[in-house]
Amino acid sequence: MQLKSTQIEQLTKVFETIVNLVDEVTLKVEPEGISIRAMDPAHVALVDFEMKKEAFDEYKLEEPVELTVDLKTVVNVLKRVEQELVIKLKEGENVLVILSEGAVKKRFNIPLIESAEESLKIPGIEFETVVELDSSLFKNAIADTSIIGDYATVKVEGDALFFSSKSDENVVEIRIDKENCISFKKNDAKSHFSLEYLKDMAKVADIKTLNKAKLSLGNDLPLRLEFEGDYTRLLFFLAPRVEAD
Amino acid sequence: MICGVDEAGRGPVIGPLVVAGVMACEDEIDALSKLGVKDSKMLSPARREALYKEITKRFKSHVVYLRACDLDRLMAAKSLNEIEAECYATVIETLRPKTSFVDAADVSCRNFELMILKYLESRPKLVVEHKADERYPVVSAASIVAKVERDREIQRLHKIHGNFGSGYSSDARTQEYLKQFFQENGSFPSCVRRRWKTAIRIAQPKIDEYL
Repeated sequence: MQLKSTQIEQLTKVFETIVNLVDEVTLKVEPEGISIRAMDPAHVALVDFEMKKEAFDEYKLEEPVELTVDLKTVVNVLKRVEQELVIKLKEGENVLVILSEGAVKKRFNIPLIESAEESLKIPGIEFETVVELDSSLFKNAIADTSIIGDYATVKVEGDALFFSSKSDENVVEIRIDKENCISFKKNDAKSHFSLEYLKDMAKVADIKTLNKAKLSLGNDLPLRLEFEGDYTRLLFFLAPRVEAD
Repeated sequence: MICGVDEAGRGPVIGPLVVAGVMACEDEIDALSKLGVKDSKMLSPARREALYKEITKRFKSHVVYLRACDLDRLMAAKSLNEIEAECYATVIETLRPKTSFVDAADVSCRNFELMILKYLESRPKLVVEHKADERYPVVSAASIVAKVERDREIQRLHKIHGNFGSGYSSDARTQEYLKQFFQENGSFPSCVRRRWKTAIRIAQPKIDEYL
């Protein structure tokens, strides 16, 4: 196996977002591309990441492999990589090798971990409400909402998407009208979510190549939050909080 | 005059936090010791109840309650230690002793002392120590008053909300009560501290349920 890329920033930032949810992940390297599917330790959120082989400058693979790693270490290493990234496996050993092929050559060896996780399914919910918007709008709405409360109510009512929160007498409501969204498939829907998780997920908005957020909503159903770019997809599912109004 | 201050019900997910102060003359301390006051946790409920009657009959005391909803509201802005320090100050301010003996709620006794001083108008001498409830009879007495007051409140809440056990997260009955109540009502009764981890965890279902 040998993967090469000069688009280091995107991969680093995607992994940084995932590491907020889960420390240990299994990176699948398959003929069509790489992928990660993982659940946070509290089993509240699920992440599904895919990067097609076209996103790499070189994608050489003899057979599919599954690499379980401590993601925090990988992120720290990727941050030190300059110009060109090379990922390969050390022959006969359970070690991932990450090379930085800049003016200075760097090599990092990262031991693989025994995988404990069996394969994860993702929720197969058919959502009738899907709103696509600039990911920066989404990120701002979450930032505004989290000033007030611990959880956000996300709803679509009429021709607008709402984010709101309250604690004691403090109330915040953010309204994003249909005209300001990229696409708007409506059906009134409302669910509540932990802002701690939403804040982590909203950080994806900082990745330039993933500037569109697609929210799928239901009534007291998980949130499906998808960020899609060229050859890259980052998908989250977040379990709702149950809250009586 | 000296007073001892202690609390009961800092940790549990259900019920109030109770802070109590007991006031005594220095020459009454022996009498207090002879009653057999000890750290309230080392006494049986019946013994605590008997001592409570004696203490409140013979000594001046003051009790401050923070209900679960008060704690939820206050914790939006302050730490639990800070909130407790304010209650301690209220008790001391009401009793007006020359010296107050306080069981430290913070890991740092000095920090806790400074926090209490912040909320005091008078400037009594403060002795803030860990395990003060074992060391000073006047603090033991306060711990007994706080514990009995909290237990009585728990009895009262049981009559209103049903038997939820001790209210501590480690109590299986408390856990079961919270889960069942939440499942049936989609919310918690008013005696539950919603900001506590146990409550948050129950209000947040897992994604597994949707797979």
